[in-house]
Amino acid sequence: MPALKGGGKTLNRQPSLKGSLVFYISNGQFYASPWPKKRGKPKSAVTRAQNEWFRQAQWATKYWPAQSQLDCAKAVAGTALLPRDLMTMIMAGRCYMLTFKDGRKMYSKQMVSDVSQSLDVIAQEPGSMMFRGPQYWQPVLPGAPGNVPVVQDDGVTIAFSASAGGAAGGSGIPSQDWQTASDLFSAGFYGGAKRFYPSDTNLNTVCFFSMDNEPSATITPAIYSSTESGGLYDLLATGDTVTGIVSGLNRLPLSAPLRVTRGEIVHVGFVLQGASIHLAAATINSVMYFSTPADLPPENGPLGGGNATWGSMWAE
Amino acid sequence: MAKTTAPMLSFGAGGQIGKTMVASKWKGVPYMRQYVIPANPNTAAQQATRKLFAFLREVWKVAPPELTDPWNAFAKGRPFTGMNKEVGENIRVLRGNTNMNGYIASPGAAGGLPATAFAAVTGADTGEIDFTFTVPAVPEGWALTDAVVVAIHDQDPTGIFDGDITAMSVGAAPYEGTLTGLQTGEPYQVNGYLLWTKPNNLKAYSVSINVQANAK
Repeated sequence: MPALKGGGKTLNRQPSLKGSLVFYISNGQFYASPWPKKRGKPKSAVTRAQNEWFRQAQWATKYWPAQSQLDCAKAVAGTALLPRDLMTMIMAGRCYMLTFKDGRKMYSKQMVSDVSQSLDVIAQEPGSMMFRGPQYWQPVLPGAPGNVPVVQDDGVTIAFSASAGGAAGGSGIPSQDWQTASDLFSAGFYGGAKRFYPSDTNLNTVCFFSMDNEPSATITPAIYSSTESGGLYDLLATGDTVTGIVSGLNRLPLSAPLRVTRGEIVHVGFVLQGASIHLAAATINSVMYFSTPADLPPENGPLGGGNATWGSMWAE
Repeated sequence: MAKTTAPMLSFGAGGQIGKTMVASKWKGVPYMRQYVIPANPNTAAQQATRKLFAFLREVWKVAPPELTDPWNAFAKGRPFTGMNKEVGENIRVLRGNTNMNGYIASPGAAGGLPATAFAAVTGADTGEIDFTFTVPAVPEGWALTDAVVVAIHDQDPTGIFDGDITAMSVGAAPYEGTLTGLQTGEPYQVNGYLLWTKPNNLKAYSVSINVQANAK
């Protein structure tokens, strides 16, 4: 007599007559249908080849070195995957990711390729960037050399355009064809670089380009808010004094990240002591503020200012 | 005519019904299926497969527990027996061969870790083969219970199996030993696998590594 087979795991499958009838519930309806036919041998040669590859891959996983098998077992612990699933994915070269104890994640080259191909849906031209538009991610088409991405008037769209440079509107990206400023900066506070931030940003360091290597110089970063007239106002952030200035890029860490909001203007500067340096000039005739002696100037400026061919300071 | 022990849909039945349905049992599980006349093209390939099937069935009949245990462990909880799997997998490997190269003695079960290396060479004395396992580091909480060797007299798998199977287990390092009592000068398929005890006390069998060696 036909066996009454137990229901399936999902309870949608009801006790059935093996080989004759199968009873199940779908969308709340009770169904009785003929026992499903065996799928049989795949007709497609490609499917047969894939099935055979998969079968052999399952065998191959058992021959993996013991340590690799253990690593895979740890990697999938707590997930719906079995170790052999991960090993099969690795052998297939498909998407997989391993997280190491220190938090580092390792992705397969194939995964990078797969994700890259997916992103090609948005843009395929080398040099393109991507931003989140109102509805979808959208491309920023490549710009000319020296261009910087700029938020457009709608406040959302981003496009490459010529760099606005130092004082106002610049986003803090230094130009590559800078020149040596003629001014030699001796001990004092230099808070000239006025920076506008087009989006909410965390600032962690004050940066500048020096043309000189001065191991004896000491330098302290500082960021001020700006008055409506453009002068220094509140001291927003500072950091530890650093000894030694190198020729090229210098980074001065802030004591704590400074959160600036979209549209905020701040003055990025530093206190220089112990030596004089030339700064690289990214812009000309930008308004700078400075004071002596070499100390953080009082709040509620403005201080003295003037035009100079400097302005390589920025915060990021 | 089907002989029922009770009316339909109750206790049981056996045999064909009007050449349309067949009621039967498989391992105590009664079932009904469509009545079909099996195809029998009787091709050379089918005959070879049948011979190989019969050969592997004979191997299974005389197989020691060292050979059957991993297959039965693999089949546990699955809709086939250890013998089904042993025959099925080895048919794939041995079909078309005139020897038993590649014979699988263990399919691996419960995630047993394989030996790093396994080697077998002609022994020092008559009828002997020496074997050596290189075992991996034992994972925390695991125990390496045994290194198991199964040697089968190599022969044409489409012939009649001569019943020559020798098995041996080594329970401690160094995981090496000597198989004795083998047929002088004859080739053997020597398979080695590891038997583990996992932290949950579950026995885990590694997949076997197959090498060929001649007895002295």
